[in-house]
This record gives sequence, C-alpha cells and structure tokens, in this order.
Amino acid sequence: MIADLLLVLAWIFLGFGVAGIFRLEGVYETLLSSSKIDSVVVLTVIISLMIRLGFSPMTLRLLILLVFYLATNPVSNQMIAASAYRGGLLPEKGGIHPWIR
Amino acid sequence: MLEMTMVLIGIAVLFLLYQLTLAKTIYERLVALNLIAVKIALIMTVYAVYSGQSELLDITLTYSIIGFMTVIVLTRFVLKGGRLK
Repeated sequence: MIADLLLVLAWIFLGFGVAGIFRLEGVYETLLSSSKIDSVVVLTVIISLMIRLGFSPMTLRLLILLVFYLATNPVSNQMIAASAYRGGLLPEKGGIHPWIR
Repeated sequence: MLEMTMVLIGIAVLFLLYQLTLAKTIYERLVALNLIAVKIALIMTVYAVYSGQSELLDITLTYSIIGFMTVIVLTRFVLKGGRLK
C-alpha cells in the first residue's frame, strides 16, 4: 500500500521534472528543477522498493545505491553550475527573483 | 506498478534525449546527460527488483559510478576550454 503510493508520487514528480526542464529556460533554472525533482524521484522509488522487499540482502544494496546517489548528485550538479558560471554564462538579472538575490 | 514505473521513466528518458540533442547551450546538454544516466540506473534498479536478480544491482552501482565520472570529466573538459591540462 505505502509502496504503491510512493510509486505514484514518483510518477507525479517525474512528470513535474520533465515539464520543468522544457518549461524553464536557461542553465540555472534547468539545474534547479532537475536536481531537486530528480532527487525526489530517486528517493521515493528506492524507498518504495525497500518497503516492498522487506528485510533482505537486496535492501542493503539498495541503501548503498541511495547513499551513493545522495552523495554524488549534488557534486555533479555543482560542477555543472560552476562550469557554466566560470564559462561566462552569467544568470540574467531579471530571471532571478529579488528575494533570492 | 513496477512495469508502469519502468515505462514512465523510459518515456522521460526519451524526452531528455530530445533535450540532449537539441538544447541551446552545452551546459543544458550536460544537465540532460546527468539526468539520463541517473534515470537509466533507476530503470536498472527497478528491473533488478522486478526480476529478483540481485546481481543487477552491482551492475547498477558500476553504471552510476561511470555516469558520475562522465559528467565530472566532461565539465572539467568544458571548464578548461577544451584542454585537459
């Protein structure tokens, strides 16, 4: 039951992620939507699989995969953002909300 | 449920392939490449649980390490302006 609900939540966030990538323009906006929403998709799917399997040897491997993903995905996203920023692609002044700036 | 999840992630990968080939800047293509690597690893994870083969999870871990290395090396390559030193 809870596993199926988490999978449905993952589908919804998958749709939001794809829509965000096509709707938003610019590197930083795409990075923002993709990194956050993709993290939610991976978290919900892997936790749903862990609940579905119960306590078994595969659960530990799934946990290792989840920890690896949560450790490496911010690093790669930060590398892409740093590469874009140092490459001369500055964020637009009107594009960012003034509260964030 | 698991089959539907795999199909939906596959459709998302198809949309991301469009973004990978037709985006404006190279950084958006790198974002799409990162997402495709993660989503294919996720499909492999779901299929490993679906078919009950626990060996596939090791292959998934290897694949995700290779995807991470790809993104890091390509961003460094772009950051250095095409030179590797």
